[in-house]
Amino acid sequence: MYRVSNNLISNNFLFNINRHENQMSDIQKKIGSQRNILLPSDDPVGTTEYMFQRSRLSDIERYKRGIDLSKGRIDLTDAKLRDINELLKRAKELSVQAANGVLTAEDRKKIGVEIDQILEEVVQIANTKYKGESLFGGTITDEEAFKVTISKVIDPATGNIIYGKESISKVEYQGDIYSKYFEVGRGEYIASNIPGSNVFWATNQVITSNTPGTGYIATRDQVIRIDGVEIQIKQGDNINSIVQKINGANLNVRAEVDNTTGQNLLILRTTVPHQMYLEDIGGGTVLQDLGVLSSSVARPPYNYAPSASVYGETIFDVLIGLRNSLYKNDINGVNRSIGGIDQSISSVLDNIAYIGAIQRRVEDTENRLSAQDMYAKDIINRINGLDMAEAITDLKNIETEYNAALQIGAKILPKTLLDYLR
Amino acid sequence: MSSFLGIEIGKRGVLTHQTGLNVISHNLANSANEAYSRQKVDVSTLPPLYNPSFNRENSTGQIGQGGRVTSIARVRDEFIDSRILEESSNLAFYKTRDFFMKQIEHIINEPNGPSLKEKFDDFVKSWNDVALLPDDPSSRNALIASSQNMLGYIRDHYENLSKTRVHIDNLVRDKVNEINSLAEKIRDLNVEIVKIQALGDNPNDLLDKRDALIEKLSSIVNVNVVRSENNEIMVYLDSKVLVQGIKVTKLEVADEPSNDGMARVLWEYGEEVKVKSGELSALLQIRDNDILNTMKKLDNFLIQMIDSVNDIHRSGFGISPNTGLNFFGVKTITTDVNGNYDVNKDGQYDSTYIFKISGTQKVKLDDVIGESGFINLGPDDTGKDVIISYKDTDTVRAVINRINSSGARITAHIDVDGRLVLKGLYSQSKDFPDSVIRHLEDSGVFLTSFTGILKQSGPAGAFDYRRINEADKLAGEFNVAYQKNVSTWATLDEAILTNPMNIAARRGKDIDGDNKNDIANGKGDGLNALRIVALLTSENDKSSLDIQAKADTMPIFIDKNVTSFRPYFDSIVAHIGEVAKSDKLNYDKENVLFTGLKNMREEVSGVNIDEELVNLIKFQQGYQASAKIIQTMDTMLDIIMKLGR
Repeated sequence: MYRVSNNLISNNFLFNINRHENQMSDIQKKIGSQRNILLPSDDPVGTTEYMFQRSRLSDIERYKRGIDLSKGRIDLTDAKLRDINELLKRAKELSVQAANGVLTAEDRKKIGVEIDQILEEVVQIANTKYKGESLFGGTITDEEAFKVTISKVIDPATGNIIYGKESISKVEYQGDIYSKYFEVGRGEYIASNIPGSNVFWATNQVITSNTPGTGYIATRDQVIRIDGVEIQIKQGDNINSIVQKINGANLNVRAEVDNTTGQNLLILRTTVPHQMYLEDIGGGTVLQDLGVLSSSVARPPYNYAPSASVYGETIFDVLIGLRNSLYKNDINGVNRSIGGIDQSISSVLDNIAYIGAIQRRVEDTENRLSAQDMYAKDIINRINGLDMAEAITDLKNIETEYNAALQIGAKILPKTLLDYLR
Repeated sequence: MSSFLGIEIGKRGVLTHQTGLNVISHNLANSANEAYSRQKVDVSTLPPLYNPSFNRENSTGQIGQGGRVTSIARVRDEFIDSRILEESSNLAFYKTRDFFMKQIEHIINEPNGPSLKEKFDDFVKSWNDVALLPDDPSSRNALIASSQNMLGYIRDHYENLSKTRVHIDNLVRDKVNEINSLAEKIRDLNVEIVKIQALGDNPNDLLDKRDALIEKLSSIVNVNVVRSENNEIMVYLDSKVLVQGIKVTKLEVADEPSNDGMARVLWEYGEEVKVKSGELSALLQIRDNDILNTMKKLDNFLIQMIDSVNDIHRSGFGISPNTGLNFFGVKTITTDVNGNYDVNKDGQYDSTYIFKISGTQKVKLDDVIGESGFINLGPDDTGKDVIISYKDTDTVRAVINRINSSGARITAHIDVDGRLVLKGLYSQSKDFPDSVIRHLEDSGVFLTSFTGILKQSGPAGAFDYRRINEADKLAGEFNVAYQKNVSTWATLDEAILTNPMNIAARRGKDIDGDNKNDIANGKGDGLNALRIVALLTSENDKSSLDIQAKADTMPIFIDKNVTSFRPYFDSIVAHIGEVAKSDKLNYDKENVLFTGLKNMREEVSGVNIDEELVNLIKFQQGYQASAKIIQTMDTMLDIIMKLGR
């Protein structure tokens, strides 16, 4: 048995009441804010997890925004490619018709006019703008993707005017080869456009240098860039090692050396129809020294050395050629063009497939993000969302204990012997 | 035997019981007094008649002489008292810690926000919008707004923490004054008590007062009390005498310039006071560890973000098409471009303060060094030099890992150009500056010809921040240290604020080989902005955006073992949460323990009204009985008196 003093009784009572009041205050705060965790010290691990998931949700929102802002561009690209395809199919019909020996020169001239219109439409499509930006210009969005030269149509062989009305005579690409990217996952990016240099090429491009490469040695470490991919040339590399490095890089371009005339000429050719984008960067001059690039024109893609031979036809080249052949009543020319149109259609179909794959990937990503979004929100709710039923039950329990303690205290505290002494 | 013996005994009884009644009434009057220990009277008999001696009367003995009060003593258990002293220190310690850790938690305002992390996430989103809509002015303006929002939050957090520190510092000074004043009061009581005890009395109430003062003192600072046999007490603090009898050794405060002028607690003879528990100890810990470290980590977070975002931004192009611009404004600690700085403010440069050093040579992580050597990274926070050795077969990766896991306050990584980058980290000791590279020295080739950090090997080529013009020893580029307390001045660069079109969302290429980009990509390119998003969100700096990764890149280290911004911030919050939780639990535990001890003391020393009332009745009856004796004796004496007439 212990000795008990009055202060002991009242102190204990106060201590317990204080404890109950603290508990009630905590529960009230939680119910008021609908949160389980009020301060990190309530649950440090839960707090960290919560902050992580909240940032995850922000990431998901960011990816969704990228998709929302890029879908339109992707879908428009798809639509425009299909339009071009239709136009090329019509051109094919017309050219097959025109190759028929039965037609007259007059007839062919009329078909030529139609081809000219098709050409103009294709050029218009090539210069499509999406929200004020060039669709097919790569990242150069503030200029027209293709520069059009208009003049009287002249036969290059004879110098005579074939057609007096001023028409499109040359179409050159002004854009770059880079894409606009958007992020759809950690380290995952999707391109939302296709550069015109990939879309509008009908045949493979071949660039042959006419500067002998015999005895060429790189005098220092330099860098060349082909289609955006950097290739490191080391001091001491000769033309064969350079060719090996180019072929070893993951490119749609192959290099070879033509030694039939003993001059070791460098040849670059594409393996998939597109326009090559060649650059000497970092102060290097390798491609210039090898006679591929010009030393005075810095900006690709028309920076080829004037001495180099450049072969390759764009869709526009094919259509211009077809039109001019029709004007000149050149059946052989028309026949040759049919092959060019077939290649053009094939190139466009490849790009339609490519954009189709992008569209599917975007759709898959959207579905995935929806699921991840729900999952993250669920975790967040479980960690920091208050279980109201549990909280109210706790509150009731504490209230009951509190009331009991108060009642008992009220009975015990006031009594002393004095109440009973006379 | 005297005739008056009866009356005398009665008188003694009356007086004895009266004294008892007085003591009881004193107890009752003080029943609510927390500091009071109940007093009780010791009654014992007076020496009886007769002692064995020659002049002994020849009658039956011994006859008692009545009783008297031999002492009025307080009922007190010294063992419980000393336990209470100890635990009251601990209780006050954890209570103070709990209180201020909650303040810190409220300032950080997680997890229910609005919080800095949320603003950071918004900042990242704004960069993404600029990447998606590079030539739209509204996405750029939105980025500027969200950047300023985020910087504003950091500044607020920092300043609130700083204000709390100042507030705590004032409390520290107050507490020192309180300690001195309590010590003096104890000394004054000592003087009184000794006088009273010399006369043989028990100065019970004064003893109670002194005990209360000592208890108050122990809640402020952990003290030890030793009682010597002459009841003199000695109060020890940190094993040194605070109060001894009539002598007091006072404490004082000195402003410490290396700690923002905050108070240092010293004995009046100059030595530093080491406190282990009690309110003062908690205040000092919170002020100089918990809050200060949080502030340093915030600064570090910001410096690393500013530095790495600026690096990427400078290599990109705006719509404008300017390049080489910073996104965040940069203020350096000294105007000297070589980092020379006047630390002791005497008008002369005395140190070289540099934050970041890059090498000149391109290296890959798996390159083998080929020669062995020793790298001296200078003092760690304890002042000991950190030496790292490398063998000829070690790779670059191995040495970098060794540097990053050492105790040196420095981080190392390889940047996208393949160059070694060393950055200074915040210090955890007042003896060293924050975010400054302390010392670089290599006996071999790693830091010199291999990575191109230093021009020369050995001590002659060593870089040390405590000398001037040390930038001459560096082979590559370097950044002068940032001005202190970045969180208070961080802002966007003027060029960005005046023209949002300067925000470098697009990349470009280097035509002339000076390692700086000269020509921009098209205006629709958002790759540079995407790279900044990747930096801020990735675990790793390697981005699949680079159509061809330039060099094997290692993640950027922003603190020891931390390579990513968001987890770093999360861990800062988690650490605060864990410490606060531990303090709260300890406080609760101490509270229960302390209450238990106080109850034990109440058991022994507390006044029980019922008990006192019963004693009251007992003494009252005793008094009445003794008074009756006197009356009876008086009547008897009267008879004898009347016989003689």
